Amino acid sequence: MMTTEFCATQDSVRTMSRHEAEAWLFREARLIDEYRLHDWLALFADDGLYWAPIDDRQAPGTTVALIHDTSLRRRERVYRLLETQAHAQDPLSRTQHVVGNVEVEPAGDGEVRVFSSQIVYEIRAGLADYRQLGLGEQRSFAARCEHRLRWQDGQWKIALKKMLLLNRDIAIENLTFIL
Amino acid sequence: MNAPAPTLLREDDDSLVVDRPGDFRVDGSIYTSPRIFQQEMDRIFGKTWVFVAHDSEIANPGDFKTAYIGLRPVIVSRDKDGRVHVVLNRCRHRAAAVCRDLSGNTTHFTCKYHGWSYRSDGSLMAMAMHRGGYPDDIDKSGLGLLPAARVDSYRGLIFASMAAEGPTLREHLGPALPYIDRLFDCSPTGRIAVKRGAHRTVYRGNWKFQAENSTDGYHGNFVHQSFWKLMSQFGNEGGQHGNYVELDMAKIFQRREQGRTVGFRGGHGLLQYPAPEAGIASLRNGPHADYARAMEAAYAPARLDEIMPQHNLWIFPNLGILLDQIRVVQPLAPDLTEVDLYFYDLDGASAAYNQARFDGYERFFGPASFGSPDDVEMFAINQTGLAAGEVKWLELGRGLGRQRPDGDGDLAGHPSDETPQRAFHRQWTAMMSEQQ
Repeated sequence: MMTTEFCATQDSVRTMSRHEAEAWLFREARLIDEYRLHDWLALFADDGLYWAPIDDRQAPGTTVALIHDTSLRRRERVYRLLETQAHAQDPLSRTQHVVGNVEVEPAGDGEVRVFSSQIVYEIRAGLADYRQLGLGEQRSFAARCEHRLRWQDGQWKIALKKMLLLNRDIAIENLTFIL
Repeated sequence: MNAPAPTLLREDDDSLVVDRPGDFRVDGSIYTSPRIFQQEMDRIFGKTWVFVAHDSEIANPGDFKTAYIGLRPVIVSRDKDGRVHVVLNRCRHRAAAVCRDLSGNTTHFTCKYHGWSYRSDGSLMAMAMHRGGYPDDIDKSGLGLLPAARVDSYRGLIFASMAAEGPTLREHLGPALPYIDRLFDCSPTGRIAVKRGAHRTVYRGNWKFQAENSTDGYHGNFVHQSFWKLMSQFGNEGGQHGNYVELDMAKIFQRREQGRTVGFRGGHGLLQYPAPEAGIASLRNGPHADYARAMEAAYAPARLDEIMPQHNLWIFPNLGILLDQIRVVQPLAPDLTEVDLYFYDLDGASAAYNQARFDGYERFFGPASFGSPDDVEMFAINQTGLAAGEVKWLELGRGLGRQRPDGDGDLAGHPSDETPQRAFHRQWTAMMSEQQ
């Protein structure tokens, strides 16, 4: 039985090695951390979902989630961050993603599931007066992460990005940056 | 001890709230002082009716949830006979909290420390290793989990009061009752259901900021400019907020000039914006025609005209009903507050209509959404500014010159006026100044 670095040959299904999956995740993380959010948007399939559930036993969209972004809401989110004065993101969050524990599993239908552990460090500082309440505090968010990737138009597209935060079901402050 | 308790908020100054013709101000220390915070927990949360749960959260016998009355941990439970109990979450032996879950279903609560167990009505079931340690015939009836002095509900909203005496729940809700009716009559059956979980958020500011803001029609043009711009750009396909059908910023601001605020006796408040131009008929030809038909079958046209506007209702001290949610403000410290948002479904409305409401809720509310995070950011900067204590006052006098009587002792103003906030602080002052 092949485990993490499986190499399916049946049905000419495109697969991903762990090495490829890591490189893909590292790039996604860098696009977010470098604030290249239009490039990040382009990683998603049109029907892709960006989801940070509170209760992941329930289907997306049925119970309250931290983030439940279909294509339209993802574009709205990026517009809000880049084109509007959103007070919760003024100053903007700086983020630094750390990606580890990467595993790949076939998912059928030309998709792969990529599991990872991610730590997202976040701080709002820069030109802001970091001494004010809510600013200048470095926070860290640990997440079990699942990407469901689909080979489409010659590249891997996100069908699902699920970020299961460790602290998802306690009272949580400002999560208005990209996880 | 027979010494009279101090009747004033502060021995050297009884004017933390200035309330006179043309002038309404509150002292900044009411948002920062640990002593005043503790007095609030005793004199307000320890006395008045405090919301603890909605019926639908504990629908079945044995269901329970934990909540807080001020800082007091409580269990809200439904016993095997269907009766609702609110008891302090504190073992009568040595004070350990006997329930550590947010919610669940059980026949009894067992203390982790020494194994005392209590039925879901709070009564003491057994003391572990009883024989020899305690008299065989000890009277257990006085050793149950201490119940709140009074428990009552209105339209599924369960409240508890730690005071045996005082206004009844209906007297307390008083002039706000018809607005609870309007909000829940958005259901063709008049019933709501909390069943999609809660958004729980926390902010670095005093709890009264969220209480004030929930009926504040002044801040929206500024705090939510990001949302209005987003709405102008993308429309309402991603989820409609309130009754806003306009996608043009100027027209959005025009709508925000229409409507009214009301400050009620008892400290409650209302912010009201108009219904869509055509009222319920605006839904007749759209995807939610079935909801419109159900509402028209359930209510007379004049009643629908009352129901259809947007109502942001604040119930003193810490309950909001607005924009498809029950909002509970939980004070944690003078400068730290939790806010829990419970989206509710309308019973008798189609699944599609409830989902559309949920989409609108999700877009604006929650810690990663496009609306409410900008509000709580204001509460943190409020709290930051309060450290400049030489400025004694916060001004809450907007609209004093144009408010008018509304009902029996209530006052109404322009939708951007601070009428509800003044009512809140009048009740706050009355309760904080009461003879203890």
